[in-house]
This record gives sequence, structure tokens and C-alpha cells, in this order.
Amino acid sequence: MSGMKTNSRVLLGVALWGGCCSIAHAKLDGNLYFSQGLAYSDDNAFIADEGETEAGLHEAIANFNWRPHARFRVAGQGYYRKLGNLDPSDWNIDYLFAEYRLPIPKGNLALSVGRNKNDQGFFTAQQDTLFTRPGVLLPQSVYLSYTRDGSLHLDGAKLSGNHFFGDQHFSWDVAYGALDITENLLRNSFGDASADVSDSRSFSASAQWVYRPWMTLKLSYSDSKFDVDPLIAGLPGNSKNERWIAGYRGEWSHWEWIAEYAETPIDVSGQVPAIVNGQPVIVDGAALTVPVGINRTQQAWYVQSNYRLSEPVSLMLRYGSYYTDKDDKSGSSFVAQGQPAWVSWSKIWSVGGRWHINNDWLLALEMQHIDGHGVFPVRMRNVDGTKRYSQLYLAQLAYRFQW
Amino acid sequence: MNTTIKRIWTKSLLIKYLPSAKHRLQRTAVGLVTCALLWGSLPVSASAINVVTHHPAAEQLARSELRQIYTMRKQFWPDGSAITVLVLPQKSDIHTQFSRQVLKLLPFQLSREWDRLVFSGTGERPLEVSSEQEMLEMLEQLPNAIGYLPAQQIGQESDLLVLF
Repeated sequence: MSGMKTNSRVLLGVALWGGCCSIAHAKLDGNLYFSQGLAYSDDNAFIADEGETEAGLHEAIANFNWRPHARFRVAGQGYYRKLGNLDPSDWNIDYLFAEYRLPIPKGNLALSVGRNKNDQGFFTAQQDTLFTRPGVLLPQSVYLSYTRDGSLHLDGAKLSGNHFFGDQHFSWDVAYGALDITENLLRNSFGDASADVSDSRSFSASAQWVYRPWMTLKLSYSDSKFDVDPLIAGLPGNSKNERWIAGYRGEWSHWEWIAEYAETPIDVSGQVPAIVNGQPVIVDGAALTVPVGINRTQQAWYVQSNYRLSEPVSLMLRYGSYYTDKDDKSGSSFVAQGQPAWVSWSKIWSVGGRWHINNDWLLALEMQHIDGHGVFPVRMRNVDGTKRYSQLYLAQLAYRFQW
Repeated sequence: MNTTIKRIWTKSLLIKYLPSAKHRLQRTAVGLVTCALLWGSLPVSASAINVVTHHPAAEQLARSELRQIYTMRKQFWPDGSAITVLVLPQKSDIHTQFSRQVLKLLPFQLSREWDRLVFSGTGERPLEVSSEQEMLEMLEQLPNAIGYLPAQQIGQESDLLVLF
């Protein structure tokens, strides 16, 4: 993948550029994070095989933040992650960039170059640690676990701003760059981890308005595309998708409410050989191809409420809904292909609890009741032993260390 | 009614005198939940906490702006100089009091805001000092720094601005 080599050179350049800026009195700090989880799947094959307990849920993160000058900052983070049968163990650079910030009246602007986290919705940039996620898993309806890698970060440039008006804080960012298309994303999305990816690029933007703890609104948009070879039947194709996320978050007394709504128009197009009477059609010595593709809009939303029993202990209740195609909520296109309609949607109830044992240790428990297989990767939908209604039980213990 | 009382009485006796593994587990679970609930409500010694800085722009600082500074969103003073935000260790009682009394945030809420910045790379956490003495020294040395100290810790002769 030539794109990955280019990305590595860019990241190395960022690190070297940061190294040249060294001056005395630099501020340097960082974090280490580890977690271990357990999952038990009952009537589904998501994360753990059906009826099995899966202990292969690990996360490890190391990051640093170095400010050699009041206006400059270099920061980086690497992670190792395994999420049962969904995400094989792998490590990656999550972010590594150099940032310049500039004060302006009532706020500041910042430009960062390198690998930047994608700040879409409330949790795309916050999904790597249990301390920043709203549960053991993100709300699966809006944040599909199996396409996670494609939305994590961009290799390019990001411009952001903060503006303050009394109690109000308005922040925004726009970013452009190449997507980091991993083998895991290809396996989960297209079934072939060895495909070549080229010409990947993405534009993203988000805006957030905060007015006191009970009112935070956020709107995010992204537009991404990349070419895949092969996509289907040994022939190349491309994938394009847009994504809108609108969200609300607020805290009152012991309660916290979060709600997000997302739409994702998807356009995957490729070619397949034309077949007539069981034979490929040859024109001028070459096989004739016909276009094929998927063009639909995923629709998802969730509402989550947290209730704080005491400072370290809170309970969570969440309901989420996901449709593979918002214009075909009955799943008729899946039925036409011989699959049950419920593989096209998921409706998920989640209950859970969190216990901040102390500042560095956190324990979380979660149970999900899932109707439908829409949020699972294609290879896990309607497989042997699974049913329309299923349960997922999760536990996770996390530790962090700051230096 | 009598039947109900009898059932409750019988159940109590069973729990008391037949401590099976299930019942022991139940009682352990209740104990753990009780401990967890009490954990965060342990009292800390109460004394006035003041916000302290040398920077003249802080004289006009509202509580909401102080919250924006300590959640690391507001990064510059109005004159364009970068704010150096100082904190005591998170296990310190002074830090807990400052968070609750001055910012009106629970310490874990403050910590969660910093985690969101640090693990996404979109920001950084404050500069942590090891003691109240070091906090005072840093505040004296750094004109753009802001911190907090117990009222009795700030000397009468100090030219630091004392807020809140």
C-alpha cells in the first residue's frame, strides 16, 4: 500500500520537525493506559463466539504531549487493541502531529499537521479508553465497531478554533487528509483484508456550542472516498460515504443525558463480468463488464441516560436504533437475497454501571439486549447458532498512569 | 397478611441460618455496593480555597470563565499570553475542595474533561505541582499562571491577586 508509506514519511517528518524545536523549559507529560475485558455472547457471534466467554479484550495506550513553546505543541499516541473476534490484536499510531496556536480576541485558532484524530460526534475521538467512552462499548448504532478504523484519524491538516462569549463556548474544526484504511477495516467491510487501497481522502468538519453544563450541541460532517482493488469478482471499485451526526449532551444534578442522530449515505461501486447463458461476454477480445454497486443511507440514533448514585458510582441506560437502509426499514432487499429481514437493522437496549475505584482505576459492567444483526459485520450476521434476539454481557477493568 | 409476614420471617431465617454460597454472594455484593456508595461521600476538611494569579486580567474573571480555564478550553489571557494552569495532585483534599467549592464540578468530572483532551490529542492537561509550597513558588515565578491555595497559605505581603 503506497499510501501507507507516504503516510509514514509524513508522520516521521512531523516528529523530526518537532525535535528541531527543542528549547529549554519545555513541558512534557504523558499517559499510559491498560484495560482488560470479558465478553459473553448469547445467541449472537459478536466479539465472542455464540455461547462462549471471550477474554481477549485488551487495550494499551501510551501517549506524550510536548510543548517546547507557548505557541507550539507536538503530541503523539500509539495503541494496541484487541476486541475479541471483531478486531485482531494490532498496534497503530493514533495521532502524531505538530500544532501551532494563535490567540485572537475572545479565543484562539490552531493549525495542526500530521495524523490528527477525527473529531466526529461526541465519541469518535474519545473511543479509545474506558475513561472517555460512555460504556464498555460505544453506542453501536451510531459508532459501528467494525468500521471504527476508517473514522479514527486523518493524515493531513486540521484547522480549529475556540471562541468565548461569556458563559458560551463555540468550537469548530475542519480537516482534510488521507484515511488510514487498515486490513481490519477491509476484512470487516469487504471481506478481503489483502485488497490494495489507493487515492483515499476525506474532508471533515464539526462545530460545537456549549452553554453551561446542561447544554452542549454538536454537528459533524465528513465526506470520504477511496479506491479498492479488488473490490468484487477480482475487479477494482471504489467506496464513497458521507456522514452527518447531530448530538445533544447535558448534565443536571445527578443526571447526564446524551442523544445523537446520524445519517450515512454510502455509495460502493464496482464492475462484474457480464454473463449471458452462463458464459462471459467477450467484445474485441476482452470480457465485457457491467456496473454493480450499493447506494443507500444508513440511519442511526441513540438516547443515553446516566444517573450518578454517588461520586464514583453511576448507572447507565441506553436505547439505540440502526437501519442499514433508511428507505427500506422492512429489510425487503435483504429478504429478496434470501436473508431474514432482521439482518438489516439493530435495536439495542443497554444497561450498565461504572465504578471509579479511585482516580486511576475504573470498572464497568454492561448488558445489551439486541434485536437484529445490522450492527454486526457481514461475516457475523445470521451465522449458525445465532438468533434475531440476542444478549451480550461485558465487563472491563481499566487502569491509567500519568507522568 | 399473616401469610406474608410468615413468608418474610421464614425467608429471614433461611438467610440467617442457611448461609449457602448464593446467600453469601448476595451479602458480599450488597457490602461491595455499600462501600462503593460511601467511597465518594467521605468528608474532607473544609477551609476557604482562593484562586490565585499574578495576571491583571483575572480581576474581571467570572466563575464560568474560570471553569473554561480549568477544563483547558480557554487557553489565552485577553492580552494574548498563554495561561499556565496549575493543579495540585488529584488525590489532594485541597484539589477536591477547589473543584467542588470553586468550580462547582466534581473532581472526576474535571478529570474526565482532561482525559477527553489528552486521549484525543485535542488538548493537554494542566501542569501538576507536588505541594502547596510548590504551587506558591510557581505562582510567584510565572506571571501568566493561575492556581489555587487555602486562604491561610497566602501571605499578607504577597502581591498575588486573590479571587473567589
